[in-house]
Amino acid sequence: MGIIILVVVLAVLALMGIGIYNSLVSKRNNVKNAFATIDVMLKKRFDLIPNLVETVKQFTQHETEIFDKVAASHGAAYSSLSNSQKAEIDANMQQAQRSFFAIAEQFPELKSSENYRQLQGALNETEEQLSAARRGYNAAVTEYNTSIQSFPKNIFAGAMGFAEESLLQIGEAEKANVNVGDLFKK
Amino acid sequence: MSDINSLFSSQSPAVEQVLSEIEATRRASLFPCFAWATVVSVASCLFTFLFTGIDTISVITVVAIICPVVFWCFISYYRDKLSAIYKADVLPNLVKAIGLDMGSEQGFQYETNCDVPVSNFRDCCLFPVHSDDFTEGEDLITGKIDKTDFKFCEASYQYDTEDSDGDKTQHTVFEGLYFDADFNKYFQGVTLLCTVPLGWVPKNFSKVELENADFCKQFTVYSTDQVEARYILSTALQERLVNMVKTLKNASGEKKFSISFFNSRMLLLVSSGTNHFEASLFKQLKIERVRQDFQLIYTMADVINELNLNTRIWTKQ
Repeated sequence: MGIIILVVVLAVLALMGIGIYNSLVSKRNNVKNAFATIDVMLKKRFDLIPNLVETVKQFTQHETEIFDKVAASHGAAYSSLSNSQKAEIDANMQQAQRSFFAIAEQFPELKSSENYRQLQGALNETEEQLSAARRGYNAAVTEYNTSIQSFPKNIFAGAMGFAEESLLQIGEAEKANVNVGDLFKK
Repeated sequence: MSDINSLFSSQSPAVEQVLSEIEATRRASLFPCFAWATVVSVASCLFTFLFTGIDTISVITVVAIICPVVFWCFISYYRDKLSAIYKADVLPNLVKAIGLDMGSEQGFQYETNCDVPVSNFRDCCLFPVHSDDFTEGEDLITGKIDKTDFKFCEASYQYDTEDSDGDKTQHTVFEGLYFDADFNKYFQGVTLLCTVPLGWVPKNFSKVELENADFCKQFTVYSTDQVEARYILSTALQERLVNMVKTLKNASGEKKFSISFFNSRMLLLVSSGTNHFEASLFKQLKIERVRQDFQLIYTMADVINELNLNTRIWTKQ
């Protein structure tokens, strides 16, 4: 009788373990998937670089240092870049976008051109999609972290090697970038 | 844009003139309505007795069935005549004035009859789709504010079922206010917002948890794409939607709101059992009632401003 009870308890624990493991794997994959989505959006923004640089250089040869930097980074294929290179391009792109909108303020003919309007729309759209992807990533990480911290999953999570993931922080520069978009409301 | 009260006040002299005409017609209709209904009821009952014979059961049955039906038909007929005056002489002018005030070049347009595309109810994913489904609509208001076009009406979505004897039963899936507007961003999937949870999760949808606590208290969100849902529901839009629902609750008195974002458009449905924009045969149509209708139309059209749908800083122009 004692053996049967022990077997039943072990079977229940094993089933619980399998269930929890599968649920944690699914949540961890959601986090990976959400992170990959950010990468897709960064690539989409990366593809806007030639158009951005070309448009600016048509109107000014000054204050183009940051555009030269992003243009140089576009020389390599996006898939071949390391994470740190991607992060650097991301930071440069944010700076380039702010400069782009500032330059447009100085050159009314740039601001009124069809090319500028299209580019402005594409930049804003990509920026908002990127922001949505980051929010999606943070939501997935929060769900995953809550899951591995709550009882009884925390017991299994520790033993199965599920570690906490960190949330993405929105930098001050990025917050300012969102406000710039608002300046161009029509 | 003017204040809603001052805008209504500017229209009220003309409205009151039509209201006195409607009231005169209403008073003049009461006697003929009941006289004709009585005559037709008596004649119908007598005619029926010729076939059934006069005994207590048949008298009670015939009177209980025929009289209410005949009276209901006459009352509806005379009430529709009053509503027709209201819809021809009051609503179009109010709707146009609201449109002009909101910056629409030609004002908004009003039509009594309306075809609501059944495909919109099927594609919005807010309801299970049935094979014998159809829509009905009335009191259509259309217009365009800046770059955003919209369509607002009273609508119902229904379907028929047939039992083994071939008897049809009609089921109402939705009844209330229908507001369809262009959205300012392009998107591919479908995102649903419901103030009352659906009770089922549509296929390929998952629940979306967003950051704004007030918004999450107000809405349950489902979407085919978590990232796209967040792209549509920016933090600013979440706040605006919370405010919009508060305003609409005050204007309509309704509590159940559902929103579907699909085909790069936004469909807002307000469940309601009230038949708006109608006159009554038994109650005088007062200026206060007209003010309520005016406020409802204004508030619905103002959803475009409230949600900032004319902000076109993305690729959709």
